[in-house]
Amino acid sequence: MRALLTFVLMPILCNSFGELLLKHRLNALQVGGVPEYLNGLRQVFFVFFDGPLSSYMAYTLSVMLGILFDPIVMLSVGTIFFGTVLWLIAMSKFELSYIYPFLSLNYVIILVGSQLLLGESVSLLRYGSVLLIVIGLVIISRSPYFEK
Amino acid sequence: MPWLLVAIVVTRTVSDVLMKKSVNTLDFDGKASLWPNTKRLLKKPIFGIGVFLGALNVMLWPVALRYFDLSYAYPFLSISFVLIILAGKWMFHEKLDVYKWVGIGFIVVGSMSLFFK
Repeated sequence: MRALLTFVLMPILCNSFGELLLKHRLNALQVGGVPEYLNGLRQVFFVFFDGPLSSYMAYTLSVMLGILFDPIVMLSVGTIFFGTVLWLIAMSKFELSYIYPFLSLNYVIILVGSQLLLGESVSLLRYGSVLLIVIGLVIISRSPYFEK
Repeated sequence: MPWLLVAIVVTRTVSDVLMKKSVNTLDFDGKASLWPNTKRLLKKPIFGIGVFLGALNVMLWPVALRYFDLSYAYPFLSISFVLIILAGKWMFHEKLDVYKWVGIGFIVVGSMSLFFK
């Protein structure tokens, strides 16, 4: 049971919280635009190229770098990566047909999280679907499982 | 462009099966086994192919979303749940009892209807 919580539930939590955090941060970056310290990069580009294309290139590049080196983005990607490592251990310990369905918990957590944390609107119908997924998971967890 | 969705389902399924195959013989038992197992894992070619297909899957997804609505594309992902269960039976000789079949039925219907408008 302990291994099931550590290697199956933990990576699912890591993945869904990592994705919620990533989406939250990307929303904020889009609103806030490019970080201040990357404006220097644009100046460097103007030295080598001139014209509208160079400003577009510099803008795209600085947005990309701004996302890649953003500490919150790094944290969320790191969380998702950590979850993936735990998931590999889970796959070595348990049957694929027993643990794989639990990945659908991701849908459930992300749906609830996108309403509570990101403020997206979620219809009542979708909670019906979530109920179906949870019922399915409860049924599968009744199946006997083997741990290596 | 339905081929794009087929490619997404296939890369996801094959990637996960290869991952399972490459970690299946490893025995993670305590902290001491972590590094030797990682070294053995990184030497396996099928693990590399699995990672490659997984990365390809992640990169194809935003491309697919340019051609299809999320509510149309997402239900296709549930197909790989069924394929993985079948792969567990055929490739890893796992026992599929009635709990697993009924459970996966609920999950597929639930995750498909989740993204219908």
